[in-house]
Amino acid sequence: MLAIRDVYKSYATPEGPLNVLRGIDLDVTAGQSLALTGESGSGKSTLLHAIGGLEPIDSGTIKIDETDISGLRDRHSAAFRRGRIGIVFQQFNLVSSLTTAQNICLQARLSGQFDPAWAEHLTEILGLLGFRDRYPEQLSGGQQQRVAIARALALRPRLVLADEPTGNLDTETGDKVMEVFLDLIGETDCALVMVTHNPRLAGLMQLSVKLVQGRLA
Amino acid sequence: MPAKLLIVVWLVFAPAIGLAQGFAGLGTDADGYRQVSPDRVLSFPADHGPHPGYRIEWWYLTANLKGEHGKDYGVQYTLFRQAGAPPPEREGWSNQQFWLGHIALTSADRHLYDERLARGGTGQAGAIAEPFEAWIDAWHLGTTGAGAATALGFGQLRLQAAGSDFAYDLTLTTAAPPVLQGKGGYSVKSDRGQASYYYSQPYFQAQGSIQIAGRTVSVSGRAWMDREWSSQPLAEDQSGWDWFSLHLDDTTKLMLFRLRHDDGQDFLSGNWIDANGSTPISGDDISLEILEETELPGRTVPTSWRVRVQSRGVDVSVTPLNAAAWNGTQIGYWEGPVFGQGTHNAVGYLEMTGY
Amino acid sequence: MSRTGWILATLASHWRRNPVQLAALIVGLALATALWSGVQAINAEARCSYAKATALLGGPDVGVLRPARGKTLPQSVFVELRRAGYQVSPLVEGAISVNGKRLRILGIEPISMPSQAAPDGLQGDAVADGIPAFLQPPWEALAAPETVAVLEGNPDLPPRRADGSLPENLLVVDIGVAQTLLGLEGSISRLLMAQDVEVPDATLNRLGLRLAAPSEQDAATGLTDSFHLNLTAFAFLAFAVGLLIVRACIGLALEQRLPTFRTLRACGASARELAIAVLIEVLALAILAGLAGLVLGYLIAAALLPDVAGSLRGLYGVSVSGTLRFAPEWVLSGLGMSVLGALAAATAALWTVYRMPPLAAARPDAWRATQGRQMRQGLAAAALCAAAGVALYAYGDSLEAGFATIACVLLTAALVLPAIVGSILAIAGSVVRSPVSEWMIADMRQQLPGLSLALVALLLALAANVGVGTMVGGFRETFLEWLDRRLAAEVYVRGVDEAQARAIDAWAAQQPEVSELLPGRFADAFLTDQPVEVRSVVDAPTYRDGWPLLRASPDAWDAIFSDEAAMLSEQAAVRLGMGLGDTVDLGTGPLQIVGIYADYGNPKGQVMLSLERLERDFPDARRMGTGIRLDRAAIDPLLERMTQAFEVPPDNIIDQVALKRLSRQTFERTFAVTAALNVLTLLVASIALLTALLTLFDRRLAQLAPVWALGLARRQLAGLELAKTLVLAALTALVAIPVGLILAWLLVAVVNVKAFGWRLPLIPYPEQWLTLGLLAVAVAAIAAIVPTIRLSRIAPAQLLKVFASAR
Repeated sequence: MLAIRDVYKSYATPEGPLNVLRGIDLDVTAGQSLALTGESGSGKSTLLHAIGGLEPIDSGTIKIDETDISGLRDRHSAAFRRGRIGIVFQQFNLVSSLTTAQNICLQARLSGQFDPAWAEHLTEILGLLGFRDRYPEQLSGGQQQRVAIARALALRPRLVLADEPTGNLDTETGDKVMEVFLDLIGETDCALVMVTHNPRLAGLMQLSVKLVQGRLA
Repeated sequence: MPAKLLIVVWLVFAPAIGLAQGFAGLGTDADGYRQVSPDRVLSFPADHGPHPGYRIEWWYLTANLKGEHGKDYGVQYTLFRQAGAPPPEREGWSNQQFWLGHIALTSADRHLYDERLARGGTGQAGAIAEPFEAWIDAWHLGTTGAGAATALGFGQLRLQAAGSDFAYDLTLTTAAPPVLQGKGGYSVKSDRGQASYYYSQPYFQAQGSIQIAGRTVSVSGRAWMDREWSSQPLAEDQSGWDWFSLHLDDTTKLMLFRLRHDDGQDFLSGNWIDANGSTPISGDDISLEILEETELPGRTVPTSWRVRVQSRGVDVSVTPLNAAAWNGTQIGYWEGPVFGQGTHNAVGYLEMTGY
Repeated sequence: MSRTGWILATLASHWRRNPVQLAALIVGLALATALWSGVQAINAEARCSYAKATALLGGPDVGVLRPARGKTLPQSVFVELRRAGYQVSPLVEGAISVNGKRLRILGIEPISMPSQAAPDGLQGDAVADGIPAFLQPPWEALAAPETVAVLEGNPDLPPRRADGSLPENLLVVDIGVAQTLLGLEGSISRLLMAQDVEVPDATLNRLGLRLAAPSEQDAATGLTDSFHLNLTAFAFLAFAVGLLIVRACIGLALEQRLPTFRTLRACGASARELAIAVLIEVLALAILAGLAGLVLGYLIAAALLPDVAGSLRGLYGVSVSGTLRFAPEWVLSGLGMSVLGALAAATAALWTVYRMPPLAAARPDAWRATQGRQMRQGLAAAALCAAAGVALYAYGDSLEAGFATIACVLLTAALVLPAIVGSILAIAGSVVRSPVSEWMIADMRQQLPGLSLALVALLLALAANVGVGTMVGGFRETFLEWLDRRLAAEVYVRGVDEAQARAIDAWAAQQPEVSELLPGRFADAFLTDQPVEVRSVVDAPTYRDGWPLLRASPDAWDAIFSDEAAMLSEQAAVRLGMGLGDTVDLGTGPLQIVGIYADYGNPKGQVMLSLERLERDFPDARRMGTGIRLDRAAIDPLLERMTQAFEVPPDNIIDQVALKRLSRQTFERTFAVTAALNVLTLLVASIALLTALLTLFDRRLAQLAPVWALGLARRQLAGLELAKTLVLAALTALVAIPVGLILAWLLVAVVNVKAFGWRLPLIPYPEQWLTLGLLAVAVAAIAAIVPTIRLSRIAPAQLLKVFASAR
């Protein structure tokens, strides 16, 4: 369902172009989970953002369910993203002025795919039932990340992109969050692409690829 | 012509303001005005002048003219007077006489008209018996030359008026004295006693020029003046009228009118004027039959008639020079030259109101 | 709910969490709109009154024929023109005194009047009742409802009917009635005609008529336009100050919501959808604030209108209704300004949102990183503005150019203010030695960009205050001195008619206590198409020594009394572009100008001749009240003897003291409005400062927390914060004073000359500056008090959190 072909990407820097992605080819089928590992600066986050349509690429194609997301203009890639892709960042990226419940529903409502029962289920599974009316600043880091996960899953995405989702959490909390996260991914039958430099987390994925200087090792 | 009475009641004053009902409240009550009586003997030239003690009055002149090349024209000049308050007369701006002028010029393909309104008391408009004058602003009908001394003051008149896109300047001459309509000038307008003083001068020869479409045309022909005053308007159920003034030949003139009643019981009357003087024609002697109607914007007007006066052997079909001779003044009416054919070859004017 | 709806709801949640910011935005915009729409409402009301007046006197579609000489025409001229085919309508006008008040009488002839000139009460649906009652006994009069109320129960005038289209203190009656009331039987004042009526010059000359120039009808309008432009300019200044608040709030709200934008983008909202949502948000806020501003503006206008009406009447002799009506034009103008202003303030924010890449938005500081560049751009723009201002001053020759110059000065000052304050702080930073002072100054410099908009608002308000204060102060001083010279005689007496006036003059001349007798006359005339007043002067020490001459030729008075010379009022000289030595002609032969004198407050230009010359040239000139000079103590006995000898109405004897008081009131009123606007502008600026401080509060915590951790108490910190705000305000005030002086000079030397026709000396008032400086500090203190108290009571946990969440 995710097919990445020959993707190149470089940034202009004062010292000349910096090649971040240099010919990436990658396939993920529905329901599969994939860990993207690599050193800092290896291009793994850039690749993840490109898959989400958040960052343009120089050449190549990124097809999700036969739609080349890299060729879409902002308006269309945004429409595609809100309906099919859930994103969980390292920083919790919640809307600080919305409550837990509102944050969870945000993307599902934007895409018109809001299912109250499913949102309720996610809230329960993620242990957020008692925190629905709290604002992000009133939540712990682990709780905030669980809200972000609930938001990403609330729209029943085809693909979830996660960028170091537990990177800001202590190990114990991180593991707990990751456990529920992966359970839910299994339950929803969506694909997962997760950037992590934690081999232990990578081991929990069905597939694991490593990026070295913009290439798959 | 009660016809014109109605016009005055509705027209005078209201036009300048733009609302027909504007003066509905102005002196509708006849109380305090002088009343028409059958006993009064008219005297000339004194009665050419205004009678401010009576509520309404007019000087009404129509002319059937021919141009140099045989083209037909019609000219209308009317000055109405209405009193806003019963006597006594007031001086200056407090004077309660109101004056309305209408002028029109008709050809086969044009009908042009204009109107003016003025208050009495300042000299802007008015009428004088001797030497005769009846004017409003620059529109003027009055004695000229030696006219004042002949034909009881109407021997020679000059008529001058200019509208926004036409003008006329005619000299009217006659040797004949005015003709009294009705019984000695007492003209009955309904079965219920409405009446007016009414006399005419149908024997004018007209000569002069008109300006139409930027050209000046020399014209000559016949003219007919009506003078009428009263304090009583129409009966309440009279809705309009059809009035004919026909020159049957040089000496024989026919005036007849129909006052239409709401219930269809029309009041008909007329006068036969010839070398023997003026003889009233009773209503059952007259027959008016509509031959043709003309569609004008917003209304249908009967413009061709069969006119019969049995006792006089008159049976003519009357057709207009210009069927669209509608005076679109504040209160509109049809007024235009007509031709009669049949027992007589007539020319004259037809006036129709209430359509 | 639609997607845009959800985006909007998400954006709006920010305001719910930051109500102070929302309040600041709405209050700022509402105040700006209020001042603007308030002034517009005043202007609309005034224009409506002028329109009524001019429509009756002719209006734009109506031609006017006036007497070539004198004030009236015989009525026969009307009849003659009508009978020659020219459709003219007569009009007679004048004034009578009712209960000691002047009541204008306008006599019209509704039958011949061009319909567009007729009052409402004689048009349309009102005709059926209106016309008969107007033209028939008892000849009803039309008047404004207020005037009908004032004249309630008066048996000497015709019955009154209310007509809302008429100005106050005017009775419209049938021409015949007016002639009787005014004693003008058989005379008319003017002829009206439809614009397409053309009367040949030969006819006009023969009948002693002239076609009134359009400018003549609008003379008052032109002058009052200046007055309204004045008001509008100040309203615009206040609006601009208000917009600074809006811009600061919108910018801050954008900055604080950058993470939200980023999240929304990640959740699949496109850049366009976000931009549209922000646009809708801004529009909704603008309309909300605009409506609030309209209500406020209405209240402001209602409060100021009586003063405006008073000064317009005093200055220009035009009548403006003292009650405010709801007019769509100022409502629309107010809402439009609110929306356009908000959009202008939000343009940068909108552009940022639209162009923002989805991931680059995470750093709130990005907004400020550009500040250095913005300051350089600001300085460049300031240079351009300054150049434009100089060019406008050098080449502009209109009231508009005068205001544009002022706008350039203010804009330049606004643009350079952050740089100037920054430089002062930099110099101070290099001088101070104590660590706390060092930190304070460094912190102020850092704080400057965030506060600069508020400081600019304060600067503009202060500069306007200095400028207007200086102008008004100078005006008052000059005016009072002038008044003393101009109204030198102790008593003024006016006879009821020429005969009585002569008798009184003769009598007064024989009274031993009278030291000088100053009779005079005045007439109306034209000087190169401009209506002017002609007044007389007699050879007396009062005039020779005391007349407020601005410039004069040597032996000017001898020249005047040789009957071959004239003096011009300053207004007349400015308007006609004439000076000493030039020659004027009032249609009665040349007169050399030998003097220019001050004639403050007179809407008309004035020409002064010797009494002999005036009586010769203008036989029908009216009498002025005769001035009588005598010892003050002798006034009452003299007046008592006079009233015993003559039937002089008390209204006709005017005590100089009362007259001066009246004149002074007119002038105070004229500037009461600008003063009020000034205070309001200062208020807006203080609100700008308050909102800036409040919205910066959270961000400031990050800077304060480390200092607190280093050992400064919260109260100490709060004190320092307050001190910093006060220092910044004081620095702003320091910049504002020279800017205000430039402003004052432009007002005095350019705007007043164009608007009123007179120039005043510029008198600096240092104590006024001191007051304003203190006022600025006080305003800043009031604005800073809430954040200071908040800071002094802040929970240590909140400061600690700064460290916990610091990245």
